[in-house]
Amino acid sequence: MSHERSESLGRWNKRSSNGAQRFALATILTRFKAGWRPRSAGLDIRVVNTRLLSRKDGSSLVGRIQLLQLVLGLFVYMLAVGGLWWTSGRVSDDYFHKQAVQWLAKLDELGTQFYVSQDRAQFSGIEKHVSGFPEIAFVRYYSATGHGLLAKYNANPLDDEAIPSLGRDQFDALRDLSSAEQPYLFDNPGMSGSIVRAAMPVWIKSIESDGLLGFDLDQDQGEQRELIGFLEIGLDTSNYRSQLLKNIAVGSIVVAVLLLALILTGRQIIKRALRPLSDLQKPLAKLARGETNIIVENSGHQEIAAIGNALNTTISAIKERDDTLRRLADHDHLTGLVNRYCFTQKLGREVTRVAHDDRSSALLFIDLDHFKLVNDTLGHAAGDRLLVQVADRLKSCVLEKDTVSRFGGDEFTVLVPQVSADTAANIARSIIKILRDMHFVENGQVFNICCSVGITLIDTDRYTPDELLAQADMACYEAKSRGRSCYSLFAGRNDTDQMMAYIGWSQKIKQAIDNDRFVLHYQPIINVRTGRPELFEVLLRMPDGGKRMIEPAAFLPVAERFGLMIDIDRWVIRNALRALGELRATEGTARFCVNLSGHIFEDPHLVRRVQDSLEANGLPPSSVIFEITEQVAIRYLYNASRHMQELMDMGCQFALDDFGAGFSSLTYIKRLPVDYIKIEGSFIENMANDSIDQAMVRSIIQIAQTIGKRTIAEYVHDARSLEILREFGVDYAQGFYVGRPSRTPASPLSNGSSE
Amino acid sequence: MLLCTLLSACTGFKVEEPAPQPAPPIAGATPAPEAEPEPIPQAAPEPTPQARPAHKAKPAAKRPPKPQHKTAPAPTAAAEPKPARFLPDVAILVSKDVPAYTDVSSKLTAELKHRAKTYTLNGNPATLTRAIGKIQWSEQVQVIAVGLHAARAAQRLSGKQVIFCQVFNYEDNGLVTSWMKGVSMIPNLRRQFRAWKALDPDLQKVGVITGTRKQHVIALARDAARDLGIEVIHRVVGSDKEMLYTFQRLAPEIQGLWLLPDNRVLSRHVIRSIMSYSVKQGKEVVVFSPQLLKVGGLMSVTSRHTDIAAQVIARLRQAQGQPNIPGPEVIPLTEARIQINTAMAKRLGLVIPQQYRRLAYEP
Repeated sequence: MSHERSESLGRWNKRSSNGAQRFALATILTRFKAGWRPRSAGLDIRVVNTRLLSRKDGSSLVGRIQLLQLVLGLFVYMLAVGGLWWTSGRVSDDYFHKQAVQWLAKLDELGTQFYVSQDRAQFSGIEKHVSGFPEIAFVRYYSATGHGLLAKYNANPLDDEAIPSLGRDQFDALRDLSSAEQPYLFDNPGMSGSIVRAAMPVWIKSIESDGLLGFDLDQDQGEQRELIGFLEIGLDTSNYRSQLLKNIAVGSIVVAVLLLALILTGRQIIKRALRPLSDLQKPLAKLARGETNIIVENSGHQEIAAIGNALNTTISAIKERDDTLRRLADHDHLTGLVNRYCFTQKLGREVTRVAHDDRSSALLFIDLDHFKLVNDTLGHAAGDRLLVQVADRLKSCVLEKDTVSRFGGDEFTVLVPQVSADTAANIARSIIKILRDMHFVENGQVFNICCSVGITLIDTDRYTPDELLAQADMACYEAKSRGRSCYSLFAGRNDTDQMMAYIGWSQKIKQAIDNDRFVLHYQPIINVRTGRPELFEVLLRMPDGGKRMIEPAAFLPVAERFGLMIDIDRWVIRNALRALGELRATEGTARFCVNLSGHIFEDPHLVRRVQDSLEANGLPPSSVIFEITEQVAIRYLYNASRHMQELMDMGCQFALDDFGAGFSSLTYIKRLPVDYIKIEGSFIENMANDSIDQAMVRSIIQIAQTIGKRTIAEYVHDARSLEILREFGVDYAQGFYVGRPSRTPASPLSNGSSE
Repeated sequence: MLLCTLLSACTGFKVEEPAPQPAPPIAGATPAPEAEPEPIPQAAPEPTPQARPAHKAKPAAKRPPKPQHKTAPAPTAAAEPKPARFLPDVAILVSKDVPAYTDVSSKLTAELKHRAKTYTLNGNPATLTRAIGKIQWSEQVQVIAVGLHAARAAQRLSGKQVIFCQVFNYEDNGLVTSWMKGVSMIPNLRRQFRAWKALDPDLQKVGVITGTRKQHVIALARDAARDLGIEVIHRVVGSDKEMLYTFQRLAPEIQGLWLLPDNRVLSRHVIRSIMSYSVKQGKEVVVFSPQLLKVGGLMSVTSRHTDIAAQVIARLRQAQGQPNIPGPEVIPLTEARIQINTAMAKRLGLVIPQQYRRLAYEP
């Protein structure tokens, strides 16, 4: 199987994974340039500014405070005027009551003679006296029974009927006031309410007989009272009230003027006090627009100075964050070179420039050879260190104006402006030489690094940056296919045709998937002890339109480059299990080994798909063994382990393919949940004549046996190899000697319809 | 013994200013220091309505202290009474248990000794009925009524001689009959006006406001005042309200007010108002109670209980053995207890004469 996989598969895998990172950075950069900021202090400030500066009502803080001040002032004004009215009303009522009481006392005194004599002439003196006081509306003297009105005075005779006389209830109430300290009744008769009426009983008192012997002035006991009449007075308060109204109106106006003056003064004070805050508006607006080259002036006010300092600090932090983000968005964090996004942007600008300039530029696409080997054997950390060294070498061999980028994985691009094809070729040669001369030392081992370089000239704006990159990539692929460590110049039309051929391949693969045009072949795997074929490895073939079958190595790289691997895996699982179901209908114990790429583990529904297919074809899960290479298992370690475990829990089995091809195999063999170990075919192929291979095979078999794994040896081409393997204790064998792949599962050594 | 007491009592001012026919002295009638009757050396002795004029009175030192019957008082009436062979028992009716009455009653009892039988009514009708019944059916032919209530109760008696005292408005109650007469409640008028004149030599017009039927007293007062160059202006009112009203209108005409204890036209409110008004207007007010000094009274004049008792006993003696009580309806008192408000005197610009200074009242 390892022969059937293209080496470029891994390269495209790396390109794909790094592409996600590039996409993320590109997205951040795009959003950033559009005004987006990460959730941080800078973002918060922007939100606050937006709210502050773009309120729908458009009012400023000063305006709002002034509005609040105005509302508060109005409230205070209303409260003051209302309080003035209420208090004045209360005070005036109290005043009128006191006035009435005083007048009642006076009239009581004046009326003494009138009560004594009952002479109407006596009343004329009272009339004359009270007529000099316009506030007295009327005076009435009643008899002790209350039925008879002894005398009355009306300031305005026309109003005589307007104010009714005291009623029976009022007389009774007045009689009951004999013991009261203030024997007065008050009311406001009439419609206008401007008349305050007061009434009192008129008593005469005498000390009891002989009461003056042993007289005590301080004791009120022993006095006799006699009710001799009632006295009623009406005070006309209209003049007073109208005057009071005028005074209150004037007072209200004065209060309003004072409040207005206060508000205006407060407005100036607030404006002056908040001016430093208002001055923050401009820099904040600039900040909200994304400008960071601003400095907030500090005012003398302690609080606002603190805000200014905080804003300056925040702006500095935002600037630093902007720089960091820009750097992250434009540069590869590992090597410090510009990244793919930035390079593509520069390339676009260069294309535009070239359109207006006669001088062409060159785009170099560099792919490291055997980087995968370093990565797999020494680990990703070593691979990263290698990439850093390569980046340094590349930067050293180009000019300042040239642009070197890490395009992804082990791919680098160089944009060399204003050069000819020859110069570009010289630069490519120079790069190849520098890297060839570089010795990468890791863990005491020395690795020689070489690269393939693809060149495309930029002499027109007919191609987009992506098309130019594809051209360079194509040229690089051509160079790599020509034997690595060399360069290739994109040859214009012919290479474009080849690129179009690539696209044609991808369309063919899609059609093959959609129309079930792929073909499955089956190679038997025998039990070495019994010689019986117990397993069949399922192999994928694509018809070329005629009778010839195209092997996976020819189309899988294209499929992987165009993201079709997962569809191929699904097609293989679905059709292989259907074929197994048909086979087990006749040969009940047959089992299939199905190869999976790493991409299938990205399918979250893998387990359900397998289960559905098994159930649809009536197959037990144990009838299927899925083969994965150790590189795939390691690269997709998390997803692979999870899915493998779920499938194994279901009953399916797993085989680790090409075991021994990488140096990390022994490390991962314990961690991967596999049942079978397929020994790397290169060890078996010449094992009969190579004692080292034999030793390695024996060791692998012994390790597998020790950890309870069964072993499968592939590439068994002769009887001798099979015999040796039997001696070593291998469990299963596979190869042309055992049985060739065929369209239908056939018995071993039968050589049915062989390829 | 009574004679000795009389002599002892007469060693005071009465010796210097003896009445022409002084009432018989009463045992224990020596006045308390604060109630010492004022010495009025230059003034003429005060005659009772039936007494001789002061200028005709014999000097006390020349009066022969004739020994008489030990219980027989000195005659005060115009006719020289003869000593009774035996003295009847006396019933004393007291209106209520207040000092103004009980003090007088005590003086009378001390004088009458075993002959006196006291009944205190205290406003209890049952007590009154019992007392009247006992008195009516007793051998007692003479009755002393102390206070208006007692006097009115005594009106029910028949065949008895009743002398009332401590009653101001006896006219309104028809207390005076042939067998029922009284002793004035008003202290000696001449002494009052004399002291007032001594205090204010410029005093010429004083007012007095009373209820009705007080013309007799006013006439006596006018007589007493006239000798001192004082005109008494009298107004009659019907109520306390009218009292105040009248006073306020009278005030411009007078220099002082002689406030009589006429309960019919006085109330505490009016008394306060009058006193307040007087103080404000600078009017001198002679009041009937020392308590009114603190509210602006210039001088208080009150009666002496011993004086009252002496006059009552004198009347009893006059009436003894006669079918009717001889003499006027009411005989005046011979003494007066005077107190002078130094603060008011000072306020009014008056100088208290030397002989009155010991009667000064410090509020």
